[in-house]
Amino acid sequence: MSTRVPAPRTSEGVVVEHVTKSFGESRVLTDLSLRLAPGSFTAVLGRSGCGKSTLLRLLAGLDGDYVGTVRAGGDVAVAFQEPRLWPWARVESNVAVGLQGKDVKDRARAALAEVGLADKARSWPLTLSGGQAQRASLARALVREPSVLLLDEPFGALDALTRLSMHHLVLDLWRRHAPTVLLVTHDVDEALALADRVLVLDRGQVSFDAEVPEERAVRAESLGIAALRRRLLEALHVRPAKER
Amino acid sequence: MTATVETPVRSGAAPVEERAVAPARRRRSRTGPLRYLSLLGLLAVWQVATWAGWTSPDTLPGPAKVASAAWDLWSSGALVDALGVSLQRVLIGTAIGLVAGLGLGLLSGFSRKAELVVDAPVQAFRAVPFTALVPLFILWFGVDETPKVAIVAVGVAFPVYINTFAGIRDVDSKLVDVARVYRLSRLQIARRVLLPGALPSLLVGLRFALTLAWIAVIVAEQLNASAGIGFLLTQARQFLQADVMVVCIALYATLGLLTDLLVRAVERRVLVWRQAYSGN
Repeated sequence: MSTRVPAPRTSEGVVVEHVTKSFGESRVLTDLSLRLAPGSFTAVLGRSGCGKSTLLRLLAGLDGDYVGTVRAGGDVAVAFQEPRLWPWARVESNVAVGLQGKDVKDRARAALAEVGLADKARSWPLTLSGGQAQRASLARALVREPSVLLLDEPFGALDALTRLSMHHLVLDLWRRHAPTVLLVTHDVDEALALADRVLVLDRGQVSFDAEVPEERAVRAESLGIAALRRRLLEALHVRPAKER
Repeated sequence: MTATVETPVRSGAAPVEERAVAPARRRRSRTGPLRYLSLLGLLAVWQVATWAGWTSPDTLPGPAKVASAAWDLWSSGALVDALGVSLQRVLIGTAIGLVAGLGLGLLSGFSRKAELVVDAPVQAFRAVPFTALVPLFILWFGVDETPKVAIVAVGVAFPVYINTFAGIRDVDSKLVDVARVYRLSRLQIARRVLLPGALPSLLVGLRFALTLAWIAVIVAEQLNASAGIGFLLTQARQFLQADVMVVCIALYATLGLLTDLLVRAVERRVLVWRQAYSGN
């Protein structure tokens, strides 16, 4: 792989060892083990209810009720499926949540400018459109230059064009600051466009694990990618259309 | 190459239209005068009914007679005295009730342990109509200001408690998750997420509470007082002064409206971020 690989941070990336998580009777994660190299970009695919959002909650430290070991070193940032902006705080304050230091407001504004919302810094979240709110929430995750960046289908509600520019934004940030990125998605094409490694989660376990070949720029035309895409869809139990 | 012409699997969520929502305009200023037009209409009907002799001046005097009685009470200073006394009772009682209700509400809202201790007794006492406590309070606190203020405080404390508690527990846990991911302390979460999230509900509680405060002070003053609007009302009953009774009732209505307007003004100030439905 000739892609410029970012220099890894001191963090050990993400380590998940023999993790089992249940909600009452139903097991969501079953003896799951997973290692994400520092500075790597991994996509987790899976059908609804496969446990991918649960995994992300554990990594984010939002749920401590499980068996096994989870280590996500350093600062973790999360971009959620929904914007989750605090409606009573202005957009820039939402972006700056938890940041310390003197230049916090400036950094928040710079991050908002990056997602194309420079003029919305002083707005109230409820006056934003759905897409704008989602971009603001991405800015909130990106502004802190985290060592682990967790993305829980944050592009799902965006229109196709905004989605593409957000993809570029995330890749840019990843190249510059080299966080360990875990992208949860159910969009195979998104996973193949962004990640270096794709995992499929099925019934709480990793059922498929592969490196993504080729440089990102040429992936769209790559035969290797097309083959991997077919295998992925198979792992996700998506039946191909019948030839006529 | 069939792979490249395959329809890509799109994610399920529908794309959100990029359409910014215009900030809510203040409608109230435009509808303001209209709101009171129907009230004026009602007064007119009342006056006409009096002129036409449909009502007896002994049981329901007309607006003109009531206005002149109000003027007499005002110029003699009786109205101002009564108003001052009642207002003071309401203010002190509300302050005490607010602090108690808010304090307990925050406590049991923030902490499950505190909820176990506080919530059940509060819910049990809530079922008691607070006016039933008046005789008991007279027994406990005597006949001076204390029992009246205490009744107001009790009337205020419950709705404030209930709405503060419910407001905190209704805050979306997803918004709290954001604070937890970014390592905000419990105190910061309380101050920056739970409290602002509970504020709309808390203010609704305050509006209820102030209505109840006026009811509480009336009841207390009617049963046992030597000053205040309730006392004026009881006196008027003894002397069969229907016009003075109506003056007192109208005064209560005005005071109730004014306090409501006050809370609404506070609401507009502190809830500027809200995009609530403002009617059709």
